[in-house]
Amino acid sequence: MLARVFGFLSSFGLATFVLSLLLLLTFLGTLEQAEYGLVASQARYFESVFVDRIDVGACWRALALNAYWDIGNVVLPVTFLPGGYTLMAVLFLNMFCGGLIRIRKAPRTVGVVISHFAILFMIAAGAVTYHFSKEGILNLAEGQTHDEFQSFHERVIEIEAVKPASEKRTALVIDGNLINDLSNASDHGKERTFTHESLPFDLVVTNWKQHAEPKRDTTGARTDAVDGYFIQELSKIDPKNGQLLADEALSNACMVSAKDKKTGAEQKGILWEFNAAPWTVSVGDQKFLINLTRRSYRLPFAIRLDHTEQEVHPGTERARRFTSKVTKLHGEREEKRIVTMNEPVRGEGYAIFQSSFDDGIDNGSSIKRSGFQVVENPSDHWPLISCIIVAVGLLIHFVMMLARAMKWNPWIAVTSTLVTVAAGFTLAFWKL
Amino acid sequence: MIAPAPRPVTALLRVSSFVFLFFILSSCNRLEVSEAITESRDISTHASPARVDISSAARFYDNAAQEPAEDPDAPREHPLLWVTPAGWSEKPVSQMRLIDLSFGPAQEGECYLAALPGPAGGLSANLNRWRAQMSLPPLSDAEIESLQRKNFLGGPAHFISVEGDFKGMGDEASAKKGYKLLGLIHQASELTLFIKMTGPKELVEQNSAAFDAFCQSVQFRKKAGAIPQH
Repeated sequence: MLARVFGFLSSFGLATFVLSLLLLLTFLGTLEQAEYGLVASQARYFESVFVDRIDVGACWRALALNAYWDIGNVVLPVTFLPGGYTLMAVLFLNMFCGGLIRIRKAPRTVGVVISHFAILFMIAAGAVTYHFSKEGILNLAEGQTHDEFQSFHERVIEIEAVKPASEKRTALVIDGNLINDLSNASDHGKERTFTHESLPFDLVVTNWKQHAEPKRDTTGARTDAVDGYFIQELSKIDPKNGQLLADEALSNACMVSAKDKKTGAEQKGILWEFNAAPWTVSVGDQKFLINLTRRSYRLPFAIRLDHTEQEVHPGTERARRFTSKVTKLHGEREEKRIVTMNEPVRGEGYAIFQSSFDDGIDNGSSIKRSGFQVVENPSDHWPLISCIIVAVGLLIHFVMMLARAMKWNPWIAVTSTLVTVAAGFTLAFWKL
Repeated sequence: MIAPAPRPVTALLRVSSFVFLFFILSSCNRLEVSEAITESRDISTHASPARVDISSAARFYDNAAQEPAEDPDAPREHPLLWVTPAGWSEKPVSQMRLIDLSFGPAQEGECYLAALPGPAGGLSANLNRWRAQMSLPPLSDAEIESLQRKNFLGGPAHFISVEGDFKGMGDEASAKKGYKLLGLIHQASELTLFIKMTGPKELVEQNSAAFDAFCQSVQFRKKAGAIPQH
């Protein structure tokens, strides 16, 4: 029985089936991203265990077939279609069983085994990136210090109990994936209630919109208005180029209601990602701040922006280079560093890149600001290592095949080839 | 020795196992109507101070609501009031389009309001310009006079509803087939207002009631009265 299971898991048939499904997912995800954006399509097709549905209408329109026959809005529920995460896990198992264990171990297959190992390493790199990497933005004005960066894509609702200034601040966090199914075409969609023992109220979330803004209710007659404002959905098409706006440019919004656990009294509010301040809920003499924002990640050190400047190309206003002088703060210890384009500051598993610059002229503040892209990825260099190992494995295999055809000693041929290649790279590295 | 299970039974066992596994996996992470909050974080000491009891107007950068209307430095408000139909999205206004809306699963339908000073070339020229955009021949003055009128901004406005190949400002080769155009032209004393809706024929027909409701809701801000409810 075990042998049959192993035989199935290590079979070429399984590999072919999995690769075919991966091709299908790539095709569908590429088509759907025209209407749903890169982030949403990636989550649905490549990061999911199972694909929940295929928007056939969106794929049809992406292929411009609606010019001949408009099929309208057709969505196919396909909960049996494995997602990218599942398929990559199966592929890993298949390659491990077939490409490393079952494969015949002989001198002529050394190169192939090495290449298979490298591909497994590449798949593992993807899994580590998916589960453990973090990426976001840290905006600092000159003189400002901070030790947190905000995710580009992950939205959360935070609930903070207002405390005296001397006390440590904490917040309860509701992940955005728990609220982004709470929308439909009407003003009042599905709702979900969030509870915590430390809160004197339950938070009910409804009417979530991916890209919207609060608008003043000038009629006074809207049933969905809260404190004189309602949520107006905005177009996700960039008017400048007709393309979908990037996910980072979208502003989520939702309606919330804080229901007092004792009295049942409700306080309603609107949360908007770009609001100037959180929504305040008062229960008795306690106040709570509720905010829809991007997920924050803590750095193991603080960064102070000492000075930032922009170089322009001579005789033009076009930016040539952004440079920031920063200080890394580890408790009392300070470390002066320079961050510039394509030359990040690295340390403790994080890489900090210069991403943007604002001279403050447009907003009249004259305060210079720098935007830093912060990346934490334990498997940052694994794909590079994997590619090198694949190249070595294939080189060994090809040279062995050539040596056999030319009736040379294959081991001498492989050894001399590897030594020559290594010497060439060493020389090039030394010279550069 | 135990006899092996017959093949149909083996196949049934395999299929049953797969179906069971499928349902188990697909039931993972199903969200409930009520969820407990399980996550928390410490807020950095470098974070901005907590801002408590901030008004909605301040939270939403609604300067006009915060400042007196007589303030000459207050930013200019939109000259029109309207109700955006449910499910439609608003796009940023531009110099040409005072109101710019889109609808449809791929936002392929659009509806905008534009205003031009004076007669703006005349009723006949503008109506026939729209017909030309739909690859249709022009109408005579007599045919234009017989067009349906609809109430808009308190007065009659010429209404057209045409189907054809929408080429917009482009050429025949770029025309989108199977489109429909609904349009209203209102000639006031000092300006001419245009409302134009275009999109695939079926989508426009599904939203024709919303188009009527939107047109009825448009009012000049200074003379705003009761807005019809939808």
